Amino acid sequence: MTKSIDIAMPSLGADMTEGMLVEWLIKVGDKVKHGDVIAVLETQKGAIDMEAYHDGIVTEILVKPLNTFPVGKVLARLKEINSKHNLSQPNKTLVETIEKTHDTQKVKPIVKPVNQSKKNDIKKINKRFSRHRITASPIVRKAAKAHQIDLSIVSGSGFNGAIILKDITAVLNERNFKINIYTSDEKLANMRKIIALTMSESKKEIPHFYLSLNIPINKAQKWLQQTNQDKAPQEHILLIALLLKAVANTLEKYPRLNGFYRNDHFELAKNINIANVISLRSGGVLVPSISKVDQLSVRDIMQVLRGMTFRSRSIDRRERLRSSALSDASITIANMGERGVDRVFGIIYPPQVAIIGFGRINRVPQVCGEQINIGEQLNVCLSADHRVVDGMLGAKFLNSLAKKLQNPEQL
Amino acid sequence: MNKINIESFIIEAIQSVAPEIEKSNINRDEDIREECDLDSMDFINYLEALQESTQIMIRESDYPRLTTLTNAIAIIQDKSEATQS
Repeated sequence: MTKSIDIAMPSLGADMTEGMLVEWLIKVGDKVKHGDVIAVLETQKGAIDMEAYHDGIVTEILVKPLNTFPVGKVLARLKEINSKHNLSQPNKTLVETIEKTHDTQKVKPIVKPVNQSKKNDIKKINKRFSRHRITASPIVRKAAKAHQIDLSIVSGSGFNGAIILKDITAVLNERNFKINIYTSDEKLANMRKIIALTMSESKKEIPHFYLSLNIPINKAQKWLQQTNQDKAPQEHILLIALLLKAVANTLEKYPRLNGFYRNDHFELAKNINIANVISLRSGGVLVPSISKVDQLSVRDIMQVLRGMTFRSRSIDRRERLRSSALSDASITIANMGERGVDRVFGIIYPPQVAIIGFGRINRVPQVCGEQINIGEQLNVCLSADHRVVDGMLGAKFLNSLAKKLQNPEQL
Repeated sequence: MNKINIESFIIEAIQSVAPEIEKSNINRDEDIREECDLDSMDFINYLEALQESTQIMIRESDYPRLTTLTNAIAIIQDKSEATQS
């Protein structure tokens, strides 16, 4: 028997109740793999790439784009991929109806990939963060400028993806069709509402305690300096990547800080998924997460972080975060050091049980034997849920983290 | 690449991480990171965008000179001339 799998409107945070399906990137008969982007959703947090959580073949597409559905509503169905017999027959009528809807409403694909390619070339979109080079003639660039069109969001239909005049006209037509259900102001207001709700709930429910430690980071800084020497910007590693890796490795030893408090009891998280608070230029924050940080190299973490920050801060330019990045964090990190504060006492994001705040790097006198040297230190503050952990464990965690940061080459 | 081209590449690269910034907001001899409120992640993304649009290789040792508009134009121009000759 082949197992049928429902694809439902995902919950991207405890605060999300509904979302709008903007566009399907799959059709009946397509093969999808876990992690493939299958649809674009518009939520209160902005446009999000919805990912598949299973491998399979799309057997049914049950709903049409541009409608809003509650969390949990089944939107499409997959059939598990391993079975060789009984391959699904595409449901032509449904596909046609949906394609027709697209036509009549002039819904253009918002980003380059998938929809335009005849093949099921979902992999392209899944390539890690990479910015495409824009190929366009001077005339096209001039036209784009005149109409204030950002060429990086235009899908080129010319040779090798070059943007031609026709593409600019298409964008202008599309502008008459308002695809975002929320304006930037509304998004910001929603975001404030969400922050207010979750933070109030946290402060009401969670008995926080705070521990902080000044960690010498001379060695980490030296290691970074050596690693980054003569590197290109795309290979540059920032301290935060190293910190994330050190936190992940330390959490392996102290798993009680990595999990969820729900229905009066604590459950350990299966993976170490670390959310990272990203402040947006227009105000507000997004908290996307990196999955299984313990299994990534420092270089990989940096790569993911860079893409994540870029996407978070350019949501209005239709760069989008992945659904998985907003749903499954097991602990959060807030890095405010660059904003010039010494320490950060974070508020736990429920149902998580801890948040770690990083302050700025200060130059300080350090006693080494009989000498006083100038060294660098970083303040790390752990806020933890006293229902789940005690101070002793928190203190051990911080000291173990400090130790790990003394051997950056081993991270 | 002439100076005007280079300048617009730099402005575009800044705008790729800080879309609200206009050319007129930038004081040419001040640190871009402070002028445009870029953190270190934005700065790296700005440099990568600049490298892609100009096709000029940027290395870590160049970073200090890429922090003001005036110096950035000069260094990209130097590098571009060096590649051509």
